[in-house]
Amino acid sequence: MTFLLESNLYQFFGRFHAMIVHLPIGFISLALLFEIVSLKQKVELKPAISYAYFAGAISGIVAIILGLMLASGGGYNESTLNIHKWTAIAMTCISLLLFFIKRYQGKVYWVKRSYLFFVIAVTSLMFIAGHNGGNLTHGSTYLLEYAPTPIRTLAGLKPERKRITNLDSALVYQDVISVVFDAKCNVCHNADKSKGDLLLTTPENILKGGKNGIVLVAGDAENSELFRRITLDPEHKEFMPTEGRTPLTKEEVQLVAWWINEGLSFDKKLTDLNLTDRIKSSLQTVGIGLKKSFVESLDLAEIDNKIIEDIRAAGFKIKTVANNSNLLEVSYSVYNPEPISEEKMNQLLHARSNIIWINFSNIDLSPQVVSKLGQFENLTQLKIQNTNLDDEGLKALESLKHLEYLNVYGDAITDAGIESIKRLPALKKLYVWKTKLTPKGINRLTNELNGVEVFSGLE
Amino acid sequence: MDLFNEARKRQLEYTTRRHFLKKCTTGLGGIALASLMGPQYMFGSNNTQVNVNPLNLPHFLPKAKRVIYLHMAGAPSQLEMFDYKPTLQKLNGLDCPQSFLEGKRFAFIQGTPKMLGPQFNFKKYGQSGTYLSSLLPHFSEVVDDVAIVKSMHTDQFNHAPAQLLVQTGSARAGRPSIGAWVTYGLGSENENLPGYMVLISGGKNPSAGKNAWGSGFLPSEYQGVQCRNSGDPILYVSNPNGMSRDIRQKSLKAINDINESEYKEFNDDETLSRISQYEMAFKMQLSVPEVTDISKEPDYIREMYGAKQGEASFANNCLLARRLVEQGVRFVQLYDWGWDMHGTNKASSLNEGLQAKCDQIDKPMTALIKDLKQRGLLEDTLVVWGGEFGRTPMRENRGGIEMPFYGRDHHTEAYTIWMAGGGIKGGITYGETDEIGYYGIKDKVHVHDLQATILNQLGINHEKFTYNFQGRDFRLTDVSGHVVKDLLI
Repeated sequence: MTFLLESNLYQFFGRFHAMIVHLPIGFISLALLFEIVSLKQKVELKPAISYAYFAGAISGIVAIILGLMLASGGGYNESTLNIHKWTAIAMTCISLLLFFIKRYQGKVYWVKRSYLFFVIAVTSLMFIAGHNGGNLTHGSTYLLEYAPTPIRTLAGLKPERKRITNLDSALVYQDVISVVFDAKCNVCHNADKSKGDLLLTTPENILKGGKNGIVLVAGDAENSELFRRITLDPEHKEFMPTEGRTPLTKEEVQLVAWWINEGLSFDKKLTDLNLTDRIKSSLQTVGIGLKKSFVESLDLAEIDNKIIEDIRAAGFKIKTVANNSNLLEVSYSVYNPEPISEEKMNQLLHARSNIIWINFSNIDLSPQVVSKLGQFENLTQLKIQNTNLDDEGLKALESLKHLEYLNVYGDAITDAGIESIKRLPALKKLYVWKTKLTPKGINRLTNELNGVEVFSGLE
Repeated sequence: MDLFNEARKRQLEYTTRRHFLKKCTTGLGGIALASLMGPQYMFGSNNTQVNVNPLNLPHFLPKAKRVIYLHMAGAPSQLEMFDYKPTLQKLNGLDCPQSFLEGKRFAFIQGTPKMLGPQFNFKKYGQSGTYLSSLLPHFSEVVDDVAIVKSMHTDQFNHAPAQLLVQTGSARAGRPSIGAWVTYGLGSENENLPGYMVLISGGKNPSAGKNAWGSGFLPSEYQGVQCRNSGDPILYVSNPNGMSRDIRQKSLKAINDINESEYKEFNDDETLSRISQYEMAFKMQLSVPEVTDISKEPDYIREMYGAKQGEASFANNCLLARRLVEQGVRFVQLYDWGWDMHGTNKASSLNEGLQAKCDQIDKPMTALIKDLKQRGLLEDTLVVWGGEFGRTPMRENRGGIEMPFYGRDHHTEAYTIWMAGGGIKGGITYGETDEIGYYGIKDKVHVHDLQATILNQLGINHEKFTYNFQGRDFRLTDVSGHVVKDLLI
């Protein structure tokens, strides 16, 4: 019989507590329901009520035994556990008492008088025991984690600190590491359920470590127990998070290692530490330092379908750049025998602010058409190579404040057009191969346009 | 004898309709339940909705709009071209340690092979200081535009399954190729050309055969259209003698009218795709000869690629690939052949055969990058170069004996590919192999990861891009694949 003494077996049975514990709740709720029904209607429910209380009491006793086994494993907050334990025991006893009262008709006077009191008592005890049990399993912050701020203040919780996601001002612990810990570790390592006596909720507790001593060695991730546990083979017995919970991602592991190696800071900013490109990209996966490009920051209303249909009827190919986006790209087929006319362009201008990419390459463009291109205020990419664009046409483009990509290769532009190109503030890439620009002109472009890559083709 | 028959007859007589219904009640109940829960659960879903963009693609803003995939069938030796291993040079000629051989299967290596050092000299090139061997003098000019991935690995050590794995995501035939997936998802940008074209540099077809550019269970119009090197670029694209374009148009019109009424009667979507195929073929009669005619290119461009008109070569195909993507073809797949350097003869030897092969591709693939770049196409065209697996750090000893030429066997654990353009960082080397190039030791990239990354650049989430077939959703990367984020701009 030695196997009975093994604590593992206790744990084995103990874990069924979480399942059995719902039975008394269900039975007692059922009894309450019957009590309410029997108040109004003339249904004979006394036997049903008494059996429901009885079933509640019996399943309650089983749940208590299993619960005691589970608690023997340790790692739970003592006071919460005590409340949970004693309220549950009281609830079970009263449930049993109610069974007897109902069963034997409660002949004694004081018992009859206090029946209502016992019903209310068993109800409240059920709620108290249940709530504390939930806190033990999920942590006391679980229930109201996503509650709206008014409810949080009512419950006396701090309003959620707004997480800083800007790379320059975010804090390494508060905005990165504690977020990772909260998401992946603190279900078990919190004030109510500190498995292995380890709490990962506050800096003091993190540094204090668990029952086997400290878990973090500043500057040495390799020798930190916490790091070892999260990087073991997931099949390993000591791997964390255990019990099939979601492991840390590759990037999260990397960030934890980086935080340890950079000296376990709890108050420094990210920028105070050594930020490599790789760390920056890992930070992006946890939502820090995501750069919004101009296009991503555009928030425009959808263009009416009728307008899109008219633009299509005019011969343009137009579609959204991505699903769920209201931004549009436009092109014009080289096989279309009809050149783009002014009227067609006017049609297209109805959608002007939503159009971010235009491809009018390899077709005939009249000066009138080109002159309207400047009105597409949010254009970021213009492919207009191998057309009859000239210096005059370039002038029309000067108003494109967000143009990042301009392809004019094979067009008849000369050094006189350089001034127009210089007026494009957002330009990043410029393609001028096979234009009439002189080598000197191309030199000027390369030297005078800061931050613009100029592609002039093979020498 | 008769008794037996009689018993059988009697039994059948007893089985009445009532018996039948009685026995079938469970099944009938199931069918009734299925029809209650929604008829689509009854026979498996059959999504035949016709919509302008039924797939809701791309999922997000794409960095690349088209792909040129250069597949070196036969698997080039990474140890001679990209992955410089000075330690392997020191071990040259020594017996391979048993630890590398235990539990491994090789295609030809038997017993204990000898280690084989790199056969060519390596030097650093470009601002990025990328190592390249003397086999790739031209390519050294564009190293700052490409990302070299040295830690590729695969599951298959034979050519055909490995090629299928790279091209279709599965080592068994029958899945759609990556080009078919992409054109199915994104369509073509040019209504007069197929969205997915395949160019083969003469010589042998890849061992995986046409499955490597097949459409699998996707509608057949998405399979790769192979361009021939001589005669009609696409079979039967020109009119036969005596058939004028007018008559052709009239006859196609008549066929399409009949198909049209057929569709009205039976509502089969395959009829619609037949009509669109006829229409596409008619348009292609003009557009294909035009786009595939490299004589339209100026001399200096042809010289840059080393392309010669009328020849079946990788150089011609690179030039053609550029012409095709310029016209908006979505996916251009090139296959080169003869990279299987086992060392069984001169042509498959590392010293001579590999030199000859590299001479054939070095200039054209470099020209392709430069040409795409000067036209502004590299910005949104993703170029991928690679084989189906790598080659062993050991010298091949087929039959357990020393072979007359230097060669290496098939190797799945580590090989090199490169990518350029389409939102991929330039001038970086990603991943590392161990000191002899046997295993990837840092940032390993599986074939499915590469596929996920290619789709990602086209704005497609590889986990959401599925096709329901035979009762389950299929995707290119099936149940694996991670986008290699460090490669992206």
